[in-house]
Amino acid sequence: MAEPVLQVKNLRTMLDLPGGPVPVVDDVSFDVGVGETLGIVGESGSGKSMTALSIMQVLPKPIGRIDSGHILLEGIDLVGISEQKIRQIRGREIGMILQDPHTSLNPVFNVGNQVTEALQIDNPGTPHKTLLARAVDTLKKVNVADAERRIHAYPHQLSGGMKQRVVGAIAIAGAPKIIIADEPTTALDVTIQLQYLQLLREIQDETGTAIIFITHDLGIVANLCHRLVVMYAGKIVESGTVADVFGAPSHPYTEALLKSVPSVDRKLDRLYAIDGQPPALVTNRAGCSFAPRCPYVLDICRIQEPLESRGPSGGASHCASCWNIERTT
Amino acid sequence: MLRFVLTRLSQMLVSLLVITFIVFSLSHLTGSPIDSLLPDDATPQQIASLTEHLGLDRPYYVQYLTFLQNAAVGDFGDSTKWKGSTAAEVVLERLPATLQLGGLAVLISVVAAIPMGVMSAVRRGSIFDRMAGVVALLGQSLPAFWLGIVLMWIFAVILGWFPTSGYGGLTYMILPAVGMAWFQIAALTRLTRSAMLEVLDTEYVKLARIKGVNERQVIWKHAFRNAAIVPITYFGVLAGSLLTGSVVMETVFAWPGTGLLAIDAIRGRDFPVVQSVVLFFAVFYLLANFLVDVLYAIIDPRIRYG
Ligand SMILES: Nc1ncnc2c1ncn2[C@@H]1O[C@H](COP(=O)(O)OP(=O)(O)OP(=O)(O)O)[C@@H](O)[C@H]1O
Ligand SMILES: [Mg+2]
Repeated sequence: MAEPVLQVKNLRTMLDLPGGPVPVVDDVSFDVGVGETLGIVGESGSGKSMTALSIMQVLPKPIGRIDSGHILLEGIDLVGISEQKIRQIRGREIGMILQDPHTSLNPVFNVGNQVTEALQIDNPGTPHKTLLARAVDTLKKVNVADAERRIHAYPHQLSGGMKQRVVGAIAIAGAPKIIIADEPTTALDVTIQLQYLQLLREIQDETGTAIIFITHDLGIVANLCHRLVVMYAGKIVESGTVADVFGAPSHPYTEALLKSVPSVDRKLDRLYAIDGQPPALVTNRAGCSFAPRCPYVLDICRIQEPLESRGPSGGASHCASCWNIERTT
Repeated sequence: MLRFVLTRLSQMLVSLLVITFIVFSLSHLTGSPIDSLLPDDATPQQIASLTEHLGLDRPYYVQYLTFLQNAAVGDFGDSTKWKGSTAAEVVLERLPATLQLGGLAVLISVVAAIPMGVMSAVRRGSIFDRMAGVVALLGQSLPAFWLGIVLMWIFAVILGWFPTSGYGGLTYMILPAVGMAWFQIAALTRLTRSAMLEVLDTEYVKLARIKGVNERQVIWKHAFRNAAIVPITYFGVLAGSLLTGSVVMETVFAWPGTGLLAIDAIRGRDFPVVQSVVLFFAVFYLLANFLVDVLYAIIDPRIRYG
């Protein structure tokens, strides 16, 4: 593979909570190649959004901070660069789509205003008329019907799917090299979801942009992504190509996640759920964080953190952090 | 938008009718003006003829309708205390002084409180934020008359920077205006701060940052435009309390405005003047709130098109 667009290396992000600093992203590393779609999956609270916000450096103020690690965009480290430089990266080099279209758009500005603002950052001093025309073009690219009229609409006058298209238009406005989509379809109806995913794929085909797709939905990952990383309690527990990971899930958590996807041919009379709760945020825990819920737990799992090892699929990039990949109980 | 304005205007008219009725009734509850107009040893005939002359013997609703009719053309009768002037003339003469002082106080409040509230929210937990918190606490716990006297004592008596009291230019206005603004700065700072904190935490502010918008525009364009709805709503209250505040400060600083006039008129049982002052306060308050509603609609499209 050519040089990746984005490389995240040993990223650690802390939140300074009242009880003390807590790592919400812990030693996370992954690459995203040109034109590639990487899925990040994991249950609620596993640190998916915090990973995305760390890359954008828009962590919740003032409690969030990147503690250590590197975020390389085409080889240039974004960690520790000035606020002014990172602002030039945001929107232009990296675009982002947030989860809830109903709250992502500013209620007091119309669509045209919010899209032109994103265009203007790339081209300061461009006459407003030109920008508006470009906004219309951008909206058309995300299949907003009647874009000439829609630029005058306010967010409350649009449907959820339409708003998310506008957010998508804002994300692609600066022609970014990579788009981070943080559960962009979770708040949409199923039919609208499919349209939106199709749209993302079209955008990728057309522009060659890389996509990081964050989701709970393994079905989407199977359809949309090339590779995926599985996060649990702030850490990546397994990573690899979709075929490898789905074919031979190596971490017990991935296995459980895959089992909990309802499917037609697997005749379950009740849905599979992973026992227990994801761990509460703590500063230091010994051993594997999944151990308390793991059906294959060994003694060593509770004492020492597992090292990353090659997955049984034999895939070159398939890795999992588990002491018991061979599943000897 | 036009429909919105017309609806608000008609609502205002209804409020005004209710207020005039209350004003009319109240002044008749505090005792008959006859007592203060005639000497104690007046004969029953004198009392009867004055009662008839003032129309006080007619049915209540007729008196009210007459009052309304006259009020519509600004006629509240002659002042009983300031002989030779109508009540409206007495009030109009004092109006500019009050508007000057109130206007300056509003200006000071807004100019001080909005940036302070916004910066407190942006730098939550900083030294600046904590100091602003102390200012807000002081502002809301000090009684206005006490503050007025202390300001006068420090800046007029000891330091001699401003005149102690009386009517005049800016130097005369500053102390009473600061005194009036004080409490409002505290309230407005706290309101602005909490509104900003809430808005700064929203997804659309996050998205603005993600777009690459610079921090100044994130704060003043994206966040403040939304947060402003709260302090603007308060502006209606502000206008009202600045008038009541003016009663205290005008008294302390002997500022010849309508506040001081109201006190004098009440003491002298000058019904026509009391009525016109109260009605003026009420109209002013209604207008301020109308303005608030319009501003509100200008800022928030959900109201404009709601
Ligand atoms: N503003 C905040 N204050 C305190 N804790 C937070 C805050 N934001 C996130 N967290 C905590 O950080 C951890 C990681 O959260 P994150 O939002 O990254 O999870 P996620 O994987 O995106 O979950 P979801 O699927 O629900 O979006 C969670 O335990 C969450 O409780
Ligand atoms: Mg999330």
